[in-house]
Amino acid sequence: MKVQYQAKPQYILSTFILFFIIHSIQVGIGIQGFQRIIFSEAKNDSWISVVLAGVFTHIVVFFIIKTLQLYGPTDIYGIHIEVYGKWIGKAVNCIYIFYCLGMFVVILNNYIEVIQTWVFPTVPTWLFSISILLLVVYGVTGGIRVIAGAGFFSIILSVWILSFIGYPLRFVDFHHLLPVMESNITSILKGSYKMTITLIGFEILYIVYPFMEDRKKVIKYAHLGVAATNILYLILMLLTLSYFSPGQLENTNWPTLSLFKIVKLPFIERTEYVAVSYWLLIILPNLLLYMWAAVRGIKRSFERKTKGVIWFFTIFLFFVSIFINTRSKINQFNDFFDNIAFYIAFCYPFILYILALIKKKMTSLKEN
Amino acid sequence: MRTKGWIWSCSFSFLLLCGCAQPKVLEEVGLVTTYGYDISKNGSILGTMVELTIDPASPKDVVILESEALSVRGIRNNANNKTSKRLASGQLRVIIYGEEILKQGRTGIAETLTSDPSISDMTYLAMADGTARDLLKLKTEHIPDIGNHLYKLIDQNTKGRVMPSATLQEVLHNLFSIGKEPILPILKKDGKGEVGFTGVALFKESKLVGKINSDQSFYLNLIIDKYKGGNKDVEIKSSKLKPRNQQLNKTVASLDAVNGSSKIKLINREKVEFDLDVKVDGRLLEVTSMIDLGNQENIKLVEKEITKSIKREIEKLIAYCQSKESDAMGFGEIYRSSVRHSNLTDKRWYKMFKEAKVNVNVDFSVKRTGLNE
Amino acid sequence: MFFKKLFSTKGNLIPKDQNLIPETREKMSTEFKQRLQNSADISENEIGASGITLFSIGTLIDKTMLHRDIIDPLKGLSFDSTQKIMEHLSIGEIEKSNQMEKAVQAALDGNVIIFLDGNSSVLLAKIPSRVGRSVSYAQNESQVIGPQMAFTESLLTNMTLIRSYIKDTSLCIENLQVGSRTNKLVSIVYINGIVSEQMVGSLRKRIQEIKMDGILDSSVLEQLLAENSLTIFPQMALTERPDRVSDWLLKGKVAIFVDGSSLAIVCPQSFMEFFQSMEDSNVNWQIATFWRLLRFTALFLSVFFTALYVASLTFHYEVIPQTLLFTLSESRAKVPFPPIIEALLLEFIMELLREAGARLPTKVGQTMGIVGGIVIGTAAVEAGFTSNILIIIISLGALGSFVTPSYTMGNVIRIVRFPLIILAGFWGFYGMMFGFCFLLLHLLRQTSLGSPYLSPFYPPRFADWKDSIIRLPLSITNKRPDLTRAEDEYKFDPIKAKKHN
Repeated sequence: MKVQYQAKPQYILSTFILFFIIHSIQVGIGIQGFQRIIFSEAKNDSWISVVLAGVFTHIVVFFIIKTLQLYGPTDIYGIHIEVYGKWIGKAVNCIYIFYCLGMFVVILNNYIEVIQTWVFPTVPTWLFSISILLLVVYGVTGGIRVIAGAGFFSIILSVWILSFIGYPLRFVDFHHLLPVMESNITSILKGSYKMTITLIGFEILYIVYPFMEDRKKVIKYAHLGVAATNILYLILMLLTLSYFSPGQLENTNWPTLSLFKIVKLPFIERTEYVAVSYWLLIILPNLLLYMWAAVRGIKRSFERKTKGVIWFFTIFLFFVSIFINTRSKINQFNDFFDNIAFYIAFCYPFILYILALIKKKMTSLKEN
Repeated sequence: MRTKGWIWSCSFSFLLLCGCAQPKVLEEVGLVTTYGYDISKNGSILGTMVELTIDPASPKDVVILESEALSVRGIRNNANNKTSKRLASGQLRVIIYGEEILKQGRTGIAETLTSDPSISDMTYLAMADGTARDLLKLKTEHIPDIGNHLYKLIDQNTKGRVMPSATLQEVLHNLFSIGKEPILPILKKDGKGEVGFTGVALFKESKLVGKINSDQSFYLNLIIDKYKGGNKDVEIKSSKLKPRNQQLNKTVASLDAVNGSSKIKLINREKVEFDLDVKVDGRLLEVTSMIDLGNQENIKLVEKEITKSIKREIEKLIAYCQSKESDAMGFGEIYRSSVRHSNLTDKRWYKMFKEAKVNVNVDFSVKRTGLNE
Repeated sequence: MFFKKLFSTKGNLIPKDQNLIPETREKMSTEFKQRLQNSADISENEIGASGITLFSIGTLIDKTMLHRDIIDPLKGLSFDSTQKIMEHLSIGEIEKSNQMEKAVQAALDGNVIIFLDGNSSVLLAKIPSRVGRSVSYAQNESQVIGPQMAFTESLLTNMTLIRSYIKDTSLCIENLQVGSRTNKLVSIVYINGIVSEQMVGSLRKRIQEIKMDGILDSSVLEQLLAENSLTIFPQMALTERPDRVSDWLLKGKVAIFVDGSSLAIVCPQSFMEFFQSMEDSNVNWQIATFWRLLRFTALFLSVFFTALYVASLTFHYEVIPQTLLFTLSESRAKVPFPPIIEALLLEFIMELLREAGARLPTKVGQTMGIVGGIVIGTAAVEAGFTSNILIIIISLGALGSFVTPSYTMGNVIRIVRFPLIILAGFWGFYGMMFGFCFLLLHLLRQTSLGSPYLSPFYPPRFADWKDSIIRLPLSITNKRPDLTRAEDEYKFDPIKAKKHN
């Protein structure tokens, strides 16, 4: 296989769609309950953790783009082959594919858990799993344009949710945020580390990069997308900290959804029921993009036909998802992938950049 | 290839339809609109429920159910045995606690309830003077549905700033925060078969420790909340103003459109000293005294007197709270947020609060008098 | 596959040497009759002793023209070649041919075959009889402001109408024939220089590739041309309004006319454009924006409202506001069915009424309103069959589907409701969301003549948003939509136009 990948013209996306892709894949399941996990570490300074994690994300994204720019139109699968050689490269690609599938399961199962807790306690997991997977298959077979479109609409059609911020604002007490910097640096950094699963998703850049129309503008829109996510998280964190009292927050599993509990519209008494169901649209692009990334990996490394691969993955993921069906199993799985995601999404880009740089230098030395 | 996919998806859809969710059809669930919790003689929880039964054929709209259980959830399950419809609390509006159960500190019931996603955070909480059971069993001609009546009563008075707002969210918020205690409005059934707001219950942690009357609750509201658009009669004790009603020997100034805001500031960390600035303004509608309100001087005088009496009332209120070790105003919250690494715990704060000094500064101004000069 | 075989055998039926015009009258006569299966309406006129015979299909030609323009001038004269006859006659369309196949085809097209004994070529004079109606009011897409004319079944009239709207030298009309048996004339109309050549090319190719024996109407052709035959959504617009077609042509779209059909096909078409009416551009932009928003709200209301009712009554009684709770439960108390059955039943009745109204003659059709409104509506509620709130919701939904300017899209909206109601009845809000996500992905996957169906929303072309769900003043909307990939992107130069607009 070739390192570089020139996408067919009908699959090329305008670059500013990248903003929506990045933002929609980052915002998903994590946003429902990240506040509690961070609060358990950083207490009332959790918002500092969010800011720090956000800044770190920008740095990582910067290095991801730097790495990609070394090669022109390529994706991570191509880079791996180039850096590690054919066989090790393929093995590393497999790890990456598994990572994407793992994230898929994390998102899927957490969403099913939420919907079972809030709305349908009696509906079995397999049913949600099958229905969502079918949607994903339908979307992924449509190609990157359809997937990016799903991301675009999931953001555009969810903007109305932001208008509900006004309701909890009536009950906030900003004294909860004071005194600033009461927690020590370690716990704040630990809080930032806990942001991992909420922030990841930006590594999709590695895969969508060759599909961008104008690769020079990628850096701008990628950072805009990440910035939008960070601002959203920061607002939510501040709101949550000042709305819930510390003891309350420790007992709330999904603070973001609990914020909806006081929203009362003249025609809908309980918005959280609508919100939980509506979240399907918000997680849909995450699932589509991760599935697509995994399928791309197989296609690029092993040159298989996508359709069969999609169905194979779907069946595989279905069985994994029905196996992980209780709260404790989901938590174990989450923690496991939290660690993996931290290394793959946040640390690995630096290593890859250095390796790619060395490789590039070596080849140019050889040629001379 | 396409048709194949079509067949696949069709067969899948059929499969999916097999897994239909368990329905809760509106007319098949018994909607509990009000819960009442008391403590029974043997120490278990005695629950009283108001169930909405909408049946065009029956003259009554509500059914009152009672059951006893050791757990909160058990009450509903036990009551379920007595109803024709499955009880569900998704339309719960009001939770009433009996006085006894609160004295024992079993406010935790509210906490248990929030783990049920079907209960709204906007549910109102209140305390019954006496038992909740008696309050809910009230039946008079003009109150066909006690649940709805209580909800409207609390809703109206909370929005009108007569009652302190005590939704599930706010009570839990204060219950779980260090340095601020929850409050509950007290509802009382009087002999004539009417329910009314009579005061506010004060808590220490989750135990009922004191009560203030509805008059003082105005001042409590003034400190806790941004006060907007209420009305209040302020009693003035002054030698300069002669009361119209010689018999009572009291002068009352009636205020309308009262706006107030308060600010608490920690001024001394070691001695725990606070400054409480209260700013109030309003329309002066009536003064029960022989005084010409057209005169600017007199207005000044009234302003001064009202300021004095508000200050006096607030100081009295704070002193009472301190004696009960119930920090309903949230001084502890201010202390915690102003002192770095205070490591404040509830227990420590109760002691500190008792000794704390609060300097009350009231700034009252009359915006305008009524239509007449 | 099956069709292909059929055609290839048919082509071999007539040997090549027989394709020439026979020289003697008798042979010609038998040949002609044989080819037309000895049809009863074949007419054969011998003109005096000149040796001229006229062959034609009597039902297809104009009898007065035949006598006035052909028989009378030729009477009593004799000619030695067809060329002479051609010079003698004063008929607009006349041509020479020596192919039998072509002559027969021409006869089917309303030509008279002028046969001169002993000659190997014939003359084909076109004098078709005109069966059809004159231009009348647009009834299916009526509007208050704007022209009232509609297309007729005659292709010629339709072309005249288009030409009268666009007096431009670059207006192109391409003719093609479709249908191996019906041999319909199909015209592709576009404005050269605006339209994307690639689109015309692919459309032309698609029309040529159609292997169908009979295409009677443009709506059939539209189904054959659409990219995805599995989708319920229309991918091309059908319209009867010449002003609409002209407007779209100016935006860079391609129109297709079929002879004998009063509807023009216009493509590429986006989802949003089905909710735009020609009247929108005839009124002030503020009013047009209001109308469009109204229609869009109606779309959502129509698709989701009944499902919302079913979902909240079946699963989510919590979301019902206190004020509605009493009315809702009181009206539901007597209904013996679960909400999903109740809703499906009523929707079904609604559709029955609509279908009955559409199929019945107009005069009887009016009674349908009475039957529906009074008998079924009132009686159903009184009998405790349905709740009166559902009746309001269903009628609102129906109303919402009727405001859609496009009839084809209106049908789709009504149908899409049913799966959503079922999903809502099984899974509540989650089911509705599932349906919504599926619809979204489905719409994202559709294309119309290679253009994305959800344009201009996705792919986002913010310049085109000015004329989509809203409409801004004409002076700002100077760009042609990206949907058509027009070669000339601008309608006018915004800087020059500023002075006047």
